[in-house]
Amino acid sequence: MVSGVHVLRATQRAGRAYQVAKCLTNNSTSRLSTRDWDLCHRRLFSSSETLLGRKYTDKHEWIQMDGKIGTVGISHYAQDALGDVVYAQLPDVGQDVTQKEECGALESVKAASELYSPVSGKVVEKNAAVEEKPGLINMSCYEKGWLFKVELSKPGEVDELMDEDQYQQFLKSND
Amino acid sequence: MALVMKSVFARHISASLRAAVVINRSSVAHFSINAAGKKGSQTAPEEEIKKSVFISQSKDVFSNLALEDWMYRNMDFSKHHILMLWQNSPTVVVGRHQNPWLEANPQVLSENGVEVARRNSGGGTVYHDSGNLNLTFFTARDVYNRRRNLDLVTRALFREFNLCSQVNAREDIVINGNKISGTASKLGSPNAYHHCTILVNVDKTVLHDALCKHDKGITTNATASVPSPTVNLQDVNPNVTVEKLLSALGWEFLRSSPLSLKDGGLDYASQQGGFQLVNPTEDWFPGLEEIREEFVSWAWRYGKTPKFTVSRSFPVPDMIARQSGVPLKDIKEDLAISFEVVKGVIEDVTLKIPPSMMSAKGFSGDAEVLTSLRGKRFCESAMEILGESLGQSESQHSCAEQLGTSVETEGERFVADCMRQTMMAV
Repeated sequence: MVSGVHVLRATQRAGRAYQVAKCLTNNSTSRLSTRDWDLCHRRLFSSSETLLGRKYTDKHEWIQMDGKIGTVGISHYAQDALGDVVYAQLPDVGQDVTQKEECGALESVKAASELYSPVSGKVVEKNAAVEEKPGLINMSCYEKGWLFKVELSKPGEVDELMDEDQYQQFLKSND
Repeated sequence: MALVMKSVFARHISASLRAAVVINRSSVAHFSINAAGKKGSQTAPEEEIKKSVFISQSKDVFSNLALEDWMYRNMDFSKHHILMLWQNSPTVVVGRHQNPWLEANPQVLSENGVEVARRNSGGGTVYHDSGNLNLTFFTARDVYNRRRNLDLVTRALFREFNLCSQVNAREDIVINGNKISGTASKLGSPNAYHHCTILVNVDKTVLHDALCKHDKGITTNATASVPSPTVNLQDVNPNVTVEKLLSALGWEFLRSSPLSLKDGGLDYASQQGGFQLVNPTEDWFPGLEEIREEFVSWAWRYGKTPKFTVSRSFPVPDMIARQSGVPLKDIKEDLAISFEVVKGVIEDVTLKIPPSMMSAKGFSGDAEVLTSLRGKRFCESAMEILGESLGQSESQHSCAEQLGTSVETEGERFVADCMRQTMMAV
């Protein structure tokens, strides 16, 4: 219940109390289903992410800046749509990537989905853990499942991307 | 490769070349080329989407894969859906993230003149020959739907041949539990494609031998194939031929509405783009030859292989062990060899040498051949080096024998031979 309260507080800040209240009501009668937890988590991450400034592309990649370095991954929506990722082909360290250009691929259920870089720059690190265990992308797409880090050559490109609220709106409009 | 190809297209799909396609080749004239390449466009309402069937006139797998890729990268499918039908001469086609050494048997392939190709889509390894028909469904990414395409195929099989087939959970098409069709796809922006194979009368002996797996000592996280029992359509219904199937699938595609798959009958089919015979050549599709070269290249076919390790161990021959002075019955450890292969190239060779060998007179445990193998392509170039090394040590061996110092090279010979065996098993 402690984590449930935490979720509620975080979500109230983001103005989505109703949805989580519904989620918690379900919890009061029975154990939370995986899906409910998933929803709660999404909202928790969503709200905290607004504070952290994660940005999104219309192809469902996210980037989070730390100085000149941006960490890139795919959104919860994207990992859910892909299904179980069985192979992650990530760009190599030292490779130049260009905004909106292909820079790797994720394979799931016999489909290779292209990865598009949210920004331009040079890859400074890739997530070896994800290469070894691609399932991390499904399990923890915003944390352990990050894909690569890039040193931006055009920092202004980040400003063009969607923030959390804009991305949530974008998802709704595409439903 | 994707990056290389993109720059190729930027160069080739200039306005003048696009015009060349449109003017010279009437069959593809009414298909707009997606000049911007990346400008995503939403699919038009269903009634505005036209459909056409492309039939490749080539049986060269690399040309066909290049055509598929060319269309994926350059055409605008927002108002046109295309079904490409194609066949290949005997080829093993591995998925984008697979290991060809693990999936195929090189010896069987070379004996039967079977090519090895790597495609751009995910999924497992398939065998193609002229008894197999390939289908590629091109759409914009936003209306990509594998299940819809497979339903269209099962419907065609029923309408034309009265065959009852099902789409299983893995999105393979099966008849009585046996697979007749395997599926894979590639999703990008703005386009996507889904392709599948259909077995009509494939040479199942070659299919089985070419893909037959035995323990090769390979460890990898490359995408693994899921072997399934297969059946040729002709064994279920002797009336099925590749030609009849091609026609049945083409018509089914043209008479079905693009998104909801409503049957519009022949009236609807006659309003579509019809059947187009296409040649995957530079002349028809400017820039195609360069893509084809990529598909043929060692770097794409083998160099794209996800990192892997090949390991094997060998008992130390008595002759060498005896030199160590350790009683033979106490020698329990084997010589263990492992190659680490990154991007198709040997990055590291690890030898675990049992004490019995280490203490053998004169064996240094640092076979020269180890160093020379690093950075060599797996496994042909590496085999050549080993061949040379063995040849050398053989001559050294005979000299050494005359001098009465045979042990020194014996150990190294054994190591080199074990390395060769490890690679030959792959």
